[in-house]
Amino acid sequence: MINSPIDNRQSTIRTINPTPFFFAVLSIVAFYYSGLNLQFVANEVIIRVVRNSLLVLALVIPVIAGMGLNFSIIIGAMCAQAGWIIMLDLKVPGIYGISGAVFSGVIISIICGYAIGTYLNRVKGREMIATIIIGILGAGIYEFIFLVGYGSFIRSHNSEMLLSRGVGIRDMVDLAPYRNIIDKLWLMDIHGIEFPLFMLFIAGIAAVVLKFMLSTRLGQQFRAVGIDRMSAELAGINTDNTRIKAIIISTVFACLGQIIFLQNIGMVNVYTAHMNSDIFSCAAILAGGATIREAKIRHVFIGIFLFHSLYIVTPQAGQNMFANAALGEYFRSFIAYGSIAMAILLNIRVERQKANT
Amino acid sequence: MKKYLPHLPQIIIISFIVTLFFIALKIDIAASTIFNDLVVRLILNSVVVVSLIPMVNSGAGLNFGVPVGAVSGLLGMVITANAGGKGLLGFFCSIAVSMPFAIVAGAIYGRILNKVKGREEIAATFIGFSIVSIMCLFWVVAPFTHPQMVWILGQSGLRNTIGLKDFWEKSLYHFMQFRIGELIIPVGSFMFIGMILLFLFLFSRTKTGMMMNAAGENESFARINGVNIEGIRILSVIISTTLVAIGTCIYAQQYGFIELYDAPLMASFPAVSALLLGGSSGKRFFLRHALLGVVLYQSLYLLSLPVANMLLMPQMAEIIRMIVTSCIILYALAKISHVSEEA
Amino acid sequence: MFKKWYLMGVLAMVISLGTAIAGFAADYKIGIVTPSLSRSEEEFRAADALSKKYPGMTKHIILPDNFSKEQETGITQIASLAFDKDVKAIVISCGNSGILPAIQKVKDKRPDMIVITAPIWDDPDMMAKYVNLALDTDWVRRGESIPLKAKKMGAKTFIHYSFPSHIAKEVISKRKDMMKQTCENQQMQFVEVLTPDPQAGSNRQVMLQFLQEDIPRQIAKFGKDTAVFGTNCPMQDVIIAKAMELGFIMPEQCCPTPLQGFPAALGLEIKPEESTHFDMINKMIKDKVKAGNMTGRLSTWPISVSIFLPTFGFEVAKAAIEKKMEVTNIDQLKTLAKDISGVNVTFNPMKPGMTNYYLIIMDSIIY
Repeated sequence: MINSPIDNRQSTIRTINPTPFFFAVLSIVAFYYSGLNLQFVANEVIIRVVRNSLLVLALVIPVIAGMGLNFSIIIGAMCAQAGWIIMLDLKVPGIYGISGAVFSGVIISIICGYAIGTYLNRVKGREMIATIIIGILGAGIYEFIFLVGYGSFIRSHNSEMLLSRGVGIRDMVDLAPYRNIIDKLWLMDIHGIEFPLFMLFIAGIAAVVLKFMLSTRLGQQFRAVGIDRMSAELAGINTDNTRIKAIIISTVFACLGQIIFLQNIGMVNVYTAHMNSDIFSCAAILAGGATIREAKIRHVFIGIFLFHSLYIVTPQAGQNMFANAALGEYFRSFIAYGSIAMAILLNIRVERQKANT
Repeated sequence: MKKYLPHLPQIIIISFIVTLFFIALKIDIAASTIFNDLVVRLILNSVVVVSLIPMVNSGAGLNFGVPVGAVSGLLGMVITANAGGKGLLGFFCSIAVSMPFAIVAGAIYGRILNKVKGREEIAATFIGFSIVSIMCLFWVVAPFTHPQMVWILGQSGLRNTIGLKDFWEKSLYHFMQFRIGELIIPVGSFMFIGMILLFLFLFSRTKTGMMMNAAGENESFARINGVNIEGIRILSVIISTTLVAIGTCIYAQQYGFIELYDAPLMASFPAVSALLLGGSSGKRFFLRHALLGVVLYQSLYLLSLPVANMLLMPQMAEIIRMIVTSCIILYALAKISHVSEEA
Repeated sequence: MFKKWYLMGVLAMVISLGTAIAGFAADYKIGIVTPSLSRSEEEFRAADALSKKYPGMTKHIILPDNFSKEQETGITQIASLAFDKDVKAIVISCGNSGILPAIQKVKDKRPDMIVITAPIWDDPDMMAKYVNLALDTDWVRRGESIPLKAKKMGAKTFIHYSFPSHIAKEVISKRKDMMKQTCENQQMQFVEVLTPDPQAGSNRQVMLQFLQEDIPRQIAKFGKDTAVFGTNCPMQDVIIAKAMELGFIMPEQCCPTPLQGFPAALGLEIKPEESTHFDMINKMIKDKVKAGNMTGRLSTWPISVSIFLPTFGFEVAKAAIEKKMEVTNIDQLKTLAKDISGVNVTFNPMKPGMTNYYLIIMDSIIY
């Protein structure tokens, strides 16, 4: 897909990551057994690419900066939800509301990203598990603000969102004022497969911006810090600072990603929509062939394509293969968790091989 | 002597708990109920928390793969219950039956963790998640027949909650139990858990136990001295997994229900929180850390909710507790990392 | 009190009625959407039973175990039904919110699709706009009927157990307010207790362990004549087991059925041939309750509402496709409901004037 000369030099035939092939084979087998219509699967995959690409792109920079998978993109997702809630609360309509949500979400996520980055500098080597716990902490604070705060110490301007007891937001708010404003822009239909060109365009732009960012001096610093923190420090890079920047960028991307995700779905599950956004995004990028130390933009798109194709077809495939409706669902959750576990294992082997060559 | 003193976060938590305790007394929660409930909670949780120690000391990381041991325990229990095990004997049979599963699972799990050295925690988390979802498949198709265990309507596959009332509910708890006034002292449970602690303590004094700690403390130094790091790490994982299986059996016995399907999915997090809450001054964790941690963590749970339910807006209690505990884990993680950076 | 009935038997009757008129195998399918087996056995098995009764006519779709966290997957699953040209109707039966986007998607693609919800918990006004027929138990009125029943059973205090993310649901919150008010009117004390939240952070066991500790505390404080109500299905096992132990009143579960809480808490041994025979099951529960000296302290609805609603929704959809009834014709609905359940079912519109959203209440059984 997008291949720079530097990438080519690094990846040689010897170190091809087997994960994407594994997923591709599994997807094809599962598709065969699912009995689903190809048109349906294609449409769904396109929607998934639109919804998830920014969330998954958010993972790239922390990996490059040597911080592993950033499970705290869940915080970015919560910032996005906060952005939408603020706009709904102030009843800002249409495109202004969307821009407002983006603006406020980004500001909150910069602040959160700074805080997370600062903390992660104190747990070097344990970033991944720390980001999982940060996610739990964030969820607590988030619940505190919207379940206890909204309507008590935060004044509510929109009584429709308020629970009837006068404190707390309903667990489900409707994004009806913003639905289909940008989703259906530049919609193209080829043989029953719908391409929302504008949304795909946004995903593309995001990828290009990220690519550009990586080629700047900041991008070089991320790489340097990721490869070896000590020598980066010696070379005069403020590594702690660079790592904070990496997390801020990641959180902002995640926030934008979740804004797109939610407006596409059209509703916000206020207290649960963010959950699992981290696990699925990580599974997707790993499925695309990224490792915990190496991630490229092409991994993001290949990963979303493979992981979500598999995810769309497994429930029905499991149901048909085992001739038992109960098994399909468990099979699918196994695929999600198993693929991350598997990818971590396979990744380590690939890394070893690289280290040896 | 200094190393036995609690550190700042523990002091904060202890003073918080003491305050909660006095408020609880103020709002008419009897001290004896608090004591009895705390004892029950310690029986429920302490073995699983203690089980983390061998792995963390051998350098295999915090065991975020608690579900691996938990499903072995569940397997042992459902097999025993299905075969008609009852009473205290049934309970011990369930532990015995779960042992082989735990040992095999632990050996495989340990091998995998050796392959992902340096990333044990994240790999363990997802191995745990995966095994829970595989076992979901198993619970549905497993050929169990006991009418109190299979699904009510489908008549095949296991229910998600199996009541142990007619099997061995609280059999250990009632064994050699006596009362001092209002206080309930379950000597049987204390003895059994005490034996596990004693085993771990004595084990750490054996040559193998010392090699295990050496492997965790300084891997390359231990390797030079002829310690088989890989083997010793696998052994530590097997011990941890087996202890988790025992802990799960004790839990179900005390709690009165076997919970299958996604119930063990998040089992690691409270256990790890409790251990970290107990704190440690260095890389090594001792039994006292686990015990202090589990007491603090469980008292926090025990006291904060009823108190906040009556004092504040009730929904705040749970949210604040969630925030406080995750803050403590983060603090502890930062502290461990700080120590290991220095080492 | 109510006539003996077998789920299977009634289904067979309805089929024979249906097929006798149609005369040949159907050329359409009806999609049934339920939660997974471990999440809710009754809805799952209801769909399973329908699939067996009408081979080739059903398409059973299962939602993710954690629907609220995997909304995307659930939406795709439901939307896949719209792409199957044979599927003419969809019956969705799961106590979740967030299904509506999927229904909108289905309706976008196939405006002719008959969508029946039995139940889902999205915003009622919006549901009424997209759904052909919405069915549910009468949440808010149960806020009145449950405390009244508890009062009749001798309760002086009413305890309401829930947790933050559940209270955030409008229907649960409203029902709680209603319960509180009813209790005030009836001079009963209303106590609200929150447990650790199983849907955010901590897990189910933590919530249940808290219940195990808190119920004895509350009973020690308020005495045996206390009614305990929990808003979450897993709570029922503990509440009923504790009721048998401590002797307090359990007026109704969150989803009223003899099959929830009672089997695990009482250790019922239900043989295969009895599994859908509610008369037998109710008798077994009665005996066990009597043996525990608890007669008159436990109550629920005589049949499983979680089996009734999807089965009923399916039969309505079937009849509508075969042009035998209008999905919103209240008289036809009442007759069909009585045929299927064997007990009296009261239908009330969700709001005055709403013609496609009905809430039901059944007669209770007190063990």
